[in-house]
Amino acid sequence: METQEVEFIAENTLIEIVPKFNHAVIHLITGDFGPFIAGMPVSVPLWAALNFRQRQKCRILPPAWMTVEELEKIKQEEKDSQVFTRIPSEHYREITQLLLENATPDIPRADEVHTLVKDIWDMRLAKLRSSTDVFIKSDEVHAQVDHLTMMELNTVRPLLLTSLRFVSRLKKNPEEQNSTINDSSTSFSVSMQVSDSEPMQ
Amino acid sequence: MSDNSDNEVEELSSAAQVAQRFQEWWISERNCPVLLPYQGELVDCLLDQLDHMRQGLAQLKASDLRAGLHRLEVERIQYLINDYLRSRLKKIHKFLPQRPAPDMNVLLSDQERTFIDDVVNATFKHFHASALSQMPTGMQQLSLPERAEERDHYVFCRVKKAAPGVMVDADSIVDFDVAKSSQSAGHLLGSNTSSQASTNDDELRKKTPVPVVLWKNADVMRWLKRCCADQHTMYAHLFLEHDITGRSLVRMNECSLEKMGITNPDHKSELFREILKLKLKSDILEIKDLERAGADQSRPSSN
Repeated sequence: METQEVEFIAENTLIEIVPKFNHAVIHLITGDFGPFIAGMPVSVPLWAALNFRQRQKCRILPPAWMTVEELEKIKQEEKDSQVFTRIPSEHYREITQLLLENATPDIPRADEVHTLVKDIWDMRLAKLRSSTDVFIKSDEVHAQVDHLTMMELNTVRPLLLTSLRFVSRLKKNPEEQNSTINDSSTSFSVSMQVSDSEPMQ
Repeated sequence: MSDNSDNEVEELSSAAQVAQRFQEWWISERNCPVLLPYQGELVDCLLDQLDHMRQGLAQLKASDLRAGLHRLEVERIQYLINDYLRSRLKKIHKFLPQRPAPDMNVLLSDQERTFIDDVVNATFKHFHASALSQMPTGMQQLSLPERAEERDHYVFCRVKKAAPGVMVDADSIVDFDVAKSSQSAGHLLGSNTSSQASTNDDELRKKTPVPVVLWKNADVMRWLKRCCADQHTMYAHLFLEHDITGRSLVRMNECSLEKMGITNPDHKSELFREILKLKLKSDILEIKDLERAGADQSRPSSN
């Protein structure tokens, strides 16, 4: 999938806004939202929030995890842990990106938030790369990948899946040849076995 | 995300749920290497909604707050539907101008079937007009070479609910991650995905390997070949002769190896080490299964 499409999916996440207008409940296909009362927080999909924000009709409340303290904590956890930690939002990278692009003034210490999210992202991708390396070298065909977000999977998907396919295809052919060789050597050594119980060297 | 791939029969009560489900299918269709069943009902339902919404929009004043929002949403859903159909067509184009395999027919929508018919007929007509009609009568038949469909794919799948007893054709697991919750784990699988069996690409079912203790001699031989290729060439006959199964394999020690006829100390210890490793791996898997079973019991109705 394209990166933009993952962002598109991320835009369906609900987020809290503080509207600057009054309006009754709005019936969208994807659900009913509102009523909007100026000053009262209400949750709407991110795409709608951004639309309101661009028209200066609301203030966006950043999600609970999007504070410097929370992100520091996540970053530390991620650093201490050998494995991937649980991230509070499936779309943390995209949401941060979208909010920073469109509603920077609504986020306290936006610069630091940006750096922290980028750090977490980099750290996770580094882990992903090293575990992918281990995975390919280990000759296994199944791996469990917990707590990876959609965007992270999306960055490795095209390269990893195709290369895995090629690796397996390359492996398959020599294996067939090998197996015939091995079979013949087996029968050979069995005949050896009858006369002599020493293993071949 | 709720797990609703199974209860297809269940009535979808609201348009929101339809949209949500359709988005899941769109993600799956985009990521799955093979064609998935066509979600005609969802598409039709959404298109109805869009029509309805557009009519409503026409009556709305442009200055109305809702107009922008509704228009945006209509566009978003329209995009989903367009892209869904487009990515299906892309997959269909892979096997054109040949007819799809008969078992694929159930996956296609009526329009897609008509489209395929049109393309196939047009191609043949074109070949006929341009070359075949000039040929001697006996050679006017056109046969395209069989195109083998590639079924070997690696996929990521998201486990929506625990499905014990599903097998993956792998006989081993590597964990990217130790901390796990069986409900939300993502898996990377190398498998022969058959499109019918796997409903949602991102949501293939959880798969577990055959436990070592249930291995037959053939499985042991496969393991030997994979883990210690050198030993396999030298001692495969011994394992075969003694009919070593998984159960006996994990019970082996250096003594029994020697008794089997592996006298070279280096080979013996190397083989023994591999056996210990396998034993450890299978024990870990067993512990995890137990833990998972315990966790499932403690929260039986989650998800």
